[in-house]
Amino acid sequence: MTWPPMPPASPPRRLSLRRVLVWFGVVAMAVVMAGFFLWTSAQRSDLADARDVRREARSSLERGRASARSQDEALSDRRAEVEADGSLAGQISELDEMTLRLATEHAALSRQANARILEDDPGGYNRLIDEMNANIERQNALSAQISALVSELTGRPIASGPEAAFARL
Amino acid sequence: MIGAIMPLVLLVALLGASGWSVARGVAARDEAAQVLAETVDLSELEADADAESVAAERLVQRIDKSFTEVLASVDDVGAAQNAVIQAERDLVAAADVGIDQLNAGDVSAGKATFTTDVSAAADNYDQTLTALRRLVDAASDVIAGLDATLEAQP
Repeated sequence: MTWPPMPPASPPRRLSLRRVLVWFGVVAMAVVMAGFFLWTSAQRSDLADARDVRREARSSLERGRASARSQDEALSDRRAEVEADGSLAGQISELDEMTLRLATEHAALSRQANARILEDDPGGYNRLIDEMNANIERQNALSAQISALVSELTGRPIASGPEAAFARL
Repeated sequence: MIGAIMPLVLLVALLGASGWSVARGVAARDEAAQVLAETVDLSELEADADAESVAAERLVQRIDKSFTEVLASVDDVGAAQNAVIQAERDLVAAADVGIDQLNAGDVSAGKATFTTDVSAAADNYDQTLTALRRLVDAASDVIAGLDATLEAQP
């Protein structure tokens, strides 16, 4: 016997397979859980990125809509301006047509008056001259209207109408 | 006893945490998909707004171009009218010369003036009228084009 006496040695504990499997399961589950955490973290990161992209898209959409509104307003303003000026141009065109008709009549009367001279018909010539002078008066009146409208439209008046009248024989 | 229960407790805790994590991940993934779908819709709306903006800008440019053409045609008609007016003055002046000769008793000279000078002035007057008629017709077409452009929608 030795002194002091040694405690009795405990029998060596045996590692059971069941216990090993349980701890292995715990470790495996921890690894799986870590994987899930990483995956969740990645999903949340993707979500944050997607929210950023959506925020930028919203801002961009607002800018685009503001630009479209601005262009619409510019279009409306320009359309109103040009409609007013286009109306003036339309009136000028109508007066031009009337002037053209009078001038065409004037040319025909001039040919007839010339023939009266060559036919020794002073009375006929003078009647035609009276018509031509009346025609010139009407052309002068139209020319004044056209000049005023052109001046309003372009700021540049055209030349005034002919003031001269044909002399009677 | 505790040594046997501990791993089971840990296992259950890990399972619970894993489930919670997966649920959060799935929710985040679904929301991200929804956010991306909304982003696509926003992008399409933005493309529409950009297209409207560009169309309106182009229409303004077309209106400006058409109006510039109208102004040019008005100028052209004005110039042609000035030419007609000048030709009319020349015709009056030529006729005045002939009438003066006739009133002075120089009938042959007066008739000769009407045959040559007045007739030539009348021809010139006709030519200026032809040019004016062409330009008035062209101006009418240009104004009709402007009206059509003003009616157009972007």
